[in-house]
Amino acid sequence: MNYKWESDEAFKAWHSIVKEALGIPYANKNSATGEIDENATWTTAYTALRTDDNGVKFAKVEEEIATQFSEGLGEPYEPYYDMEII
Amino acid sequence: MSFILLGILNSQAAAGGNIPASLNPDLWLDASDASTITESGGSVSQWDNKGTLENFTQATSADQPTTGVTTQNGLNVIDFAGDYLSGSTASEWKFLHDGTTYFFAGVMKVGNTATPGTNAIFGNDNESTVQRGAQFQFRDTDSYEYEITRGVSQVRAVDLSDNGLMPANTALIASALLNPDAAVAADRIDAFVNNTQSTVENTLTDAPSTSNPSFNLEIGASGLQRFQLNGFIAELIIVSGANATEENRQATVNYLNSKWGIF
Repeated sequence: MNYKWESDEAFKAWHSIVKEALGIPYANKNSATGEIDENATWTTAYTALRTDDNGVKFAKVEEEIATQFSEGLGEPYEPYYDMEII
Repeated sequence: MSFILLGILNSQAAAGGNIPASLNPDLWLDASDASTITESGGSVSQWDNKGTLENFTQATSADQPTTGVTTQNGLNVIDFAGDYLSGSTASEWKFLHDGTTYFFAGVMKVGNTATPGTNAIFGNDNESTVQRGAQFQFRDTDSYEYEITRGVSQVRAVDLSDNGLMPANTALIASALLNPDAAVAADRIDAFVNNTQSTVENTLTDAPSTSNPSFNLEIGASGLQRFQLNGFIAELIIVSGANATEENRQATVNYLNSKWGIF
C-alpha cells in the first residue's frame, strides 16, 4: 500500500525509526551458498519517496510494517499516472 | 574459418543446444540459477545478469522482489509485488531504442487477478513519449504492448498494442524480434506470446533516436519506477546484433519452453 506524508521531514522521521528497527543497512547473502556477500548490493533503505503525475510524493509501505510502525505513518494514497497514448 | 565456426554456432543455436549462451546475450536473467541471486529472508537485492551487460539491483527493502516462494515447472521464479530491480548505467541499453536489431524472450506471469491493469516487465522510458527508450508492458486484462520512444512528444518509433494476445495471471513466454529503423513499419516488430504471433502491425515510421535512454533500465517497471509489476519473471533474455534472428528467437523460445514447461 502507498502512503503520503505532510512533509519530507515527517517521512524521514518515520523512515529513520523503521530503518533502525529493521537493522538497515545490512549486507545480503548469495542464494546458492548462503554466505554474506558484502560486495553485492546492500539493503540501505526501507522505502523511498517517489512522485506521481499529480506531483504528489508517496512511498510504498508493506502491510506488516504499516501495522508495526503506525505512529508517524502518513495517510493511505493511491498514486495517479497519466496514460499517454498516441 | 570464422565463417565455418559461425555456421556451427548458428546450427547449434537453431537446434536449441547451448542456447542462450552461444548467442552472447546482452541480458540473461535466470531465476533458476540461485548463484545469480543475492537476498535476505527471500528479499532480492541483486539479480546478476549472466549476459554481457550490467546486473540489476534493489537496495530499498519495500521494493525488493522475492525468491524461494513460487516455482514454475519445479524451478524457482522471482516474484514481484509492485517491486522492481534497476540497472545503473542507462547508456548500456541504448541499443533497445536506437535502431539496433534485437530480440527478447522471457518467461513470466503478469497479474494475480483477471484485471491487473498496467504492469511493466522491463523499460527505460517511463511510458512517456517525451522520454527516450523502450518498454514492454501488459495493460488492462490481456494487452501486449511494446513501444520505442524518441524523446519527441507523441511521436514513437515503434508502437504495438495487441488486445487479447497476452492473458493475465497465466505463465507464458512473451517475445519479439525488433528492427526499429526498418523502412517498412510492419517490419519493425514481430511480437509473440508462446507460439502465437500478433496479427497487429506497427504503423509508425519515424526514425529512432540515437541518444541515450532517459532512465536506467528497470526490470518489473518501465523507468522511474512506473507501472511496477505484480506477477513473476522466471527468465528473461535479450540478444542484439548478428545473432538477433528469427531463427534464434524461435530457438530461445524453444529453450525456455523446454525448461519451464509453458505450452
